[in-house]
Amino acid sequence: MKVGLKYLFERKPNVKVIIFAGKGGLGKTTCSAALSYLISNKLNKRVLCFSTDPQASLSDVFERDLFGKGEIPIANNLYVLEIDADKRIKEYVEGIRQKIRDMYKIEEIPQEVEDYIESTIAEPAMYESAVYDAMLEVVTQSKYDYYIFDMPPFGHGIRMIAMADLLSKWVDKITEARRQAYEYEAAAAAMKRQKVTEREDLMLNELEDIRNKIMSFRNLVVDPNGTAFLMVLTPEKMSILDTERAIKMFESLDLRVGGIVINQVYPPWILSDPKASEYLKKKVISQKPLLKEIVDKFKDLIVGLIPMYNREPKGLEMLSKVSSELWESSIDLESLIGK
Amino acid sequence: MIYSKYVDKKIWATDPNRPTPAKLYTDGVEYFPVSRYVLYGYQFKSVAALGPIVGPIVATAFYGWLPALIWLIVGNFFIGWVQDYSAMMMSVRNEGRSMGPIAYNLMGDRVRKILLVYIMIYLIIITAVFAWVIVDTLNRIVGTFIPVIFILFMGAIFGHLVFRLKVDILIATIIAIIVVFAGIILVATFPQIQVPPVNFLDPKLGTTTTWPGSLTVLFWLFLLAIIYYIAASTPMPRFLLPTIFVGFLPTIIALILVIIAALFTPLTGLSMAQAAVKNLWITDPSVFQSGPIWPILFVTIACGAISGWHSLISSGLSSKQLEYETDARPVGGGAMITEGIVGLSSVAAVAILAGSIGAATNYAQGAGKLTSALIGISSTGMTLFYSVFIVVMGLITSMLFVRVWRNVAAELFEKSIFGNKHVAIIVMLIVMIFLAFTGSWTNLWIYFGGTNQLLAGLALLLVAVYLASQKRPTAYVFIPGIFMAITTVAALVWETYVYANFLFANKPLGPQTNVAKVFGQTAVQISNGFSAVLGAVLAVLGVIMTTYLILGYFRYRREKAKSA
Amino acid sequence: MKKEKKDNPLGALKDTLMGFMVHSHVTSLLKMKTYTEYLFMIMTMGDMLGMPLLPPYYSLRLLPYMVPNIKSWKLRMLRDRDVTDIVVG
Repeated sequence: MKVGLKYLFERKPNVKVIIFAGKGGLGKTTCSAALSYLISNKLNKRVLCFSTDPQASLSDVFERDLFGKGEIPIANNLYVLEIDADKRIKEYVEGIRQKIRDMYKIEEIPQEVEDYIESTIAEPAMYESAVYDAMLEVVTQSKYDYYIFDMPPFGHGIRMIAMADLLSKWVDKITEARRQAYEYEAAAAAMKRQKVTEREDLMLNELEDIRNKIMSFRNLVVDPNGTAFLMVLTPEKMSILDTERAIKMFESLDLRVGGIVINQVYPPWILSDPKASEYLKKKVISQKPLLKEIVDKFKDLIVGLIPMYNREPKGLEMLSKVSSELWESSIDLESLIGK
Repeated sequence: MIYSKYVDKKIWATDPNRPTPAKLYTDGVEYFPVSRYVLYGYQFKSVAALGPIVGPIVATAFYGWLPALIWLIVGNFFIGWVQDYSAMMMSVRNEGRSMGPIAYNLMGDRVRKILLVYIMIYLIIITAVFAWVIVDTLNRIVGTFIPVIFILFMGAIFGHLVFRLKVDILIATIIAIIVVFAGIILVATFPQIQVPPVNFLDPKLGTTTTWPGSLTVLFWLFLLAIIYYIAASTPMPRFLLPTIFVGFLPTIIALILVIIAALFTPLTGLSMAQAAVKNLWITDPSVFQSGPIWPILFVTIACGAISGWHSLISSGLSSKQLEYETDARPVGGGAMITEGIVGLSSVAAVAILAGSIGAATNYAQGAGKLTSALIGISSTGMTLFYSVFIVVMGLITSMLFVRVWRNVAAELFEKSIFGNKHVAIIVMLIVMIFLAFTGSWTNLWIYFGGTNQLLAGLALLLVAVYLASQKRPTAYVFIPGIFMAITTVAALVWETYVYANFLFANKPLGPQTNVAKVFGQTAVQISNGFSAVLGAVLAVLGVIMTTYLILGYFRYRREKAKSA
Repeated sequence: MKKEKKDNPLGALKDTLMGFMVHSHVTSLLKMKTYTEYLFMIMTMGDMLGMPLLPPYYSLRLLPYMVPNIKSWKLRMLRDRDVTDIVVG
């Protein structure tokens, strides 16, 4: 049985966002790049490949410095965006500082406010939020037909999705509290025959906007038709366990994993290749029970099989190779585990 | 005046240059400096309610106007303002903290907790007493109801006008004044709309007295309960706040008018019709009203002479907004003296009436007579005006009390069902209805006075403890504090004795005869039993607190002696 | 430091009237307003007190509007409050 994203696209014709999630180092970035290349090349659609990896691995794959440079065209229809999240946070925070200075016409930010800002910058959640914010931003602009995201390992994001509804309810409560505070303030001012400032409404707008952001991020991520979550795993014990755990966690959030791509598979024909080394043959044999376990556990989820390459998959030529494997695997799934 | 200057300079050594909490902790909400005039107005408004009006009437009825007059003047000058002022200064010197936290700091948690329980009982009793005063006035001064309704509706409309439609508050105030007085004038001019008639649900009971236990009383009480419930459970700006505002419009006019009229009595040719001195030493508990002049007089007139409530106001808000320490004297002391004058005007109002007195309605009649002599409007019209004034004052204060109760309950019983605002309010209103419906209000009044005065005594003693801890002279607060504490505990014991006496004799107190007739003697027994227990609890709490405070006082004194 | 300006009687009367009619209302309204605002701050800036509700990335966006309140908020969180405070509104 052949597997490939081809079948996934047939099953879900409306998919336009594909998110590669899971631990780093398993080939997420390569897969994202390859899939983007495939869509731009084979399907002839505009596609954005998005990554946040601070190691600039997308730059690595495309062999160009893309990190923090914005949306860069790489080939026909193919655009790449590798954001520098740290820089983004810095700018974002500086923007907040500037706003405070402008609003209150002060040179120096009060100490307790500065303390707060510093403490938030240090939070790991900041990094993730900044990434999601950027993700949302590009999707909302809808300049592309497809979006391929190379997501950082999910930590805080899980919480954000899980709490989106709760957060939304909070925002309702908060809005109500604001409205009441405003009412009280207006009443107090009326009694003193004064006018109230209109700062309050701006704040509610901000709040409403935040709610929309959080909700649309959640909706984007859990939309089963428009979005597919793909996980990459390798035939290794740890990787299988991690994937299992991740799937469980996703389910608890109503998130369906759209598919699993098995990477670094040693093709079975090595065994019959007289030129192949003993080492490779041993690898094939040792992978067999692991692959069997993978098929047993995730059978219907498997959407891709990528063979082990003898060199790092870099450059467009290599990507094209990987992408055709992703589209439809050259290895037959059964042949891997069959006798 | 000289005495107050002496206290101000020698004991507290106030200094306009010492920064007050208002300046140190400005937060624009609770802590911010406010002109002393504003604070004076605020303080006076917060301390002066029905208290300084009703107390003197009851006292005059019990003992004649002279003892009432003397106690008002002496009490106010030597104890009353001292308490208000000292509580304020104590708070100012304690970062603007209120009584509770100061008590906690000086005396520990137990004293603070007892203080809270005390305040809760206090709130119930005063609301019940005021409920009776309002009901009695509504029932007997026919025509009061409609202007009151005008005011309540105007309150709701006023809130809508100012807070929703953003009408300028001056314009809205003018509209409110017009509507409020239109209501009173309308009813005064057209006797046919003076409804409902006296005892309208119990025609058999005649038209001279309001009887506890009658259907009419129940009707009015339920009406009050509904109003209080709405006021305490809806957001403040909707109903409570604008109603208070509108209610104070006629109030302020009424107060000024009656004070001027009282001052002008020599010119208007009215003279005292009540006996200057009546029976001062009643020791027979079967005479359910009154009692020996000591201690009863001193709790009967609470507000006006001295009132514990004021210490809460002084230390709760004014102290946080005082601009200069030297303002404490005009604000705390000044407001108290003004209240004393209100009390005196009340004595004057009832003293000119002939015949038997002893109810707030007499105040309406007396004040009506006084002012009508001054400004020449018919006495019945002015009586109606003052009767509306009493009801509105009572309503306003009670609405606030119910709301305070709700907040205190929410704080104390956070976790349990009593912390729920609806439950808390309803429980309070049921107790209020029960007490007002079955009790004899003059006796309840003494309970109220007792709790109030004991609070005052405790506040004074607390100040004494504080001053002792600061190694300053204490006699000026310690002696009045001890006097008040002993007097009020004695009064509470006496009143408990009266109730217990009727309880064991299985007889109704005078006004309770109707309750006994309609609901049976058991209802009276329950009511009196409850009152007796309440009195005993209050007295015991009072003794405990006083003991704690005195012990604390001597502890700090010893430390002082040692370190000296 | 000069203690105060000479008071003009009309201003004094106006102030007294203000104190009598509106001061308590204004204060209690302001207090209510502040409580709701604090509630709001806990919800949005809760991470300041160690209870994060809103992701900090977003609470930062609200921060500029809170600046004037933060100091008094923290002050109040440190101040002991008592039921006897509630009594006066």
